Amino acid sequence: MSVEDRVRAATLARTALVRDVRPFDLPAIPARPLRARRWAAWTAPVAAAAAVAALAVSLAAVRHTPNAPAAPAAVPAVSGMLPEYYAALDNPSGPITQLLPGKHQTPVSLRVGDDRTGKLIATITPPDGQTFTGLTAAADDRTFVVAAEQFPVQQLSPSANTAAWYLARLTPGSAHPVTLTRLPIPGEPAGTQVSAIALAPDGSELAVMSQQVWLPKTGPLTIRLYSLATGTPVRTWTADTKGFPAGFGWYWGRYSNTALTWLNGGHTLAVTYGTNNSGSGPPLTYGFTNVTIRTVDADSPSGNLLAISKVLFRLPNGTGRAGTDCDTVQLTGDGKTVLCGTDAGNTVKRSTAYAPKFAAYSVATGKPRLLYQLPGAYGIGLADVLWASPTGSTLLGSVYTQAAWGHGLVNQTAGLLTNGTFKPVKFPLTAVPFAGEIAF
Amino acid sequence: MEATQAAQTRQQVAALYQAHALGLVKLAVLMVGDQRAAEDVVQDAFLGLYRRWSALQDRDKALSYVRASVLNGCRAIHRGKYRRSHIRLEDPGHAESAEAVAMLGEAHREVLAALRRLPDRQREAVVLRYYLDMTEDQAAQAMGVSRGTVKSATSRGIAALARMLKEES
Repeated sequence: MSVEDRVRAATLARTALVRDVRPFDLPAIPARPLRARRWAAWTAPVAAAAAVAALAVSLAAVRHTPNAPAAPAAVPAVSGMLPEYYAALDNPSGPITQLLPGKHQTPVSLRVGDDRTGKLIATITPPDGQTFTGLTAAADDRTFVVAAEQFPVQQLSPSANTAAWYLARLTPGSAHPVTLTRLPIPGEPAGTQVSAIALAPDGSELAVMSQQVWLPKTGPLTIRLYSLATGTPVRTWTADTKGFPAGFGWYWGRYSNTALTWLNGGHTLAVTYGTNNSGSGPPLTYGFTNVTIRTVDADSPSGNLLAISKVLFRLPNGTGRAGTDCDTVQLTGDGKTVLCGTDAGNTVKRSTAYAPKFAAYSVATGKPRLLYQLPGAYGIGLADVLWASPTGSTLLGSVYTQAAWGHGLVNQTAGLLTNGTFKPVKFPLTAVPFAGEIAF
Repeated sequence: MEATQAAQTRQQVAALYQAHALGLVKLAVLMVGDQRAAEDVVQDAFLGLYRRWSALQDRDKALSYVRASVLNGCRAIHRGKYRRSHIRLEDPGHAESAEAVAMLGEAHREVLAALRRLPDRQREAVVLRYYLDMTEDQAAQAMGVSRGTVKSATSRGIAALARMLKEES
């Protein structure tokens, strides 16, 4: 290993131990202007300034609702079973149009709430010309990263590139409980679609899985670890996918926050990786075959993802179709269980086989275990894992059903799944969240 | 009116602190080897920003300003000139906390100890280039020196590290 690589590895290992910093109360003193001439040196335009300015932040306006109207309370059973605070993408256009981002009539806003009291803490609308599309949380229950794309979203195109990344910080009980700050992480180039994101437990780095899936051609799958402090990618891993979409979590209009998982306190990144050979254009999750969970040491140098990662688990292909049955896949925090929320049906004929299901696979044995199946027969059934406890013993999920393709009653419910019991939970959101739309 | 402006300033600087303090403390930890000292340096840097906020013409450069202040503070600690008198660095080999020592491997400890034995400029150049992955131009801006200085400081720093690590192996 070169000296440079040893420096990279050692400095990353040391700084990974810095998990938090003590709070800082600014004293109530009047601002004191600095002499202009000295400050002028800082503001002088120099050639390098453009690069450094890209590292700087611009503060976004914070709109909060300290006196938000009383929201529907979460069921009492939530208390103690979920992390206390959540952030969610709230789509006022309703659940159906969430699947069709081109139909959005109003941009998606961010809501932050307390699931133990059921109260909504803040609603933050995106800056003009943007809509929120991605959401991921650190381990402190206070820190979230939010992605925004240009708005209006392009019709029937998932490739509206990520325009901006924001840091949402929650300070419960303060006068301004949620602040939204633009991060220096760059947006994605046109035609590149982000499929999954995961904020490191200490909130220092953001893992972003993306791929150019439109013109001029499908590019390699790319995972970048961005430093939130500088916005620069500290690691870049790529995989040559032979011109096909790869990875996992290609949801319309939103990014998966379960297809990438941080393990070992942020030292290891677990990547859900499949390939989709069903054709060109934007992939659908159920078209992914040979889905594996791969692990990569976060200190690994940039390079070939497939060469430096190890296969932890192979998800079996689905029954009755080429790809996996799972719409959401999440490796639990202890690395021992793979949770699957199913995607089934898409037919005019109802069947209990198409009912939403949650299953758990043992990483050690590969054996599946059915955790829950929604009673009834449906034409379409979708189960999304929204959050899971480190061992997978508690799961927050949402189930979506439609009586038959093209018509019929639509139902969607979020609930906590423990010991085979799915107990509905209501969040103060316009619609029940799908995968990627809520984070804890 | 002034009270409103002061409150806005506090809110803006506090937001910057929330967003960037952790990353800057990590940077300072690499420079001084001790988290408490690193936090003091970072908080003082933000305090300086707070006091100068009204004179700040381009607030997009606030982070650059704070980062440079942090590097200045770390240099002052190494020279024993930091104004907070309780900050004194121990021998580079012993500056880590027990927990940090336990969790870091021997190989990493050697590199970090060697890093802190470098002259200030070389240490800053190496850390900015290889920890923050800054370009030479970006590192030059952060350090307040020329690109050529960054290039030579990085080269000398890496060579010195190679010698130190070879001697210890």
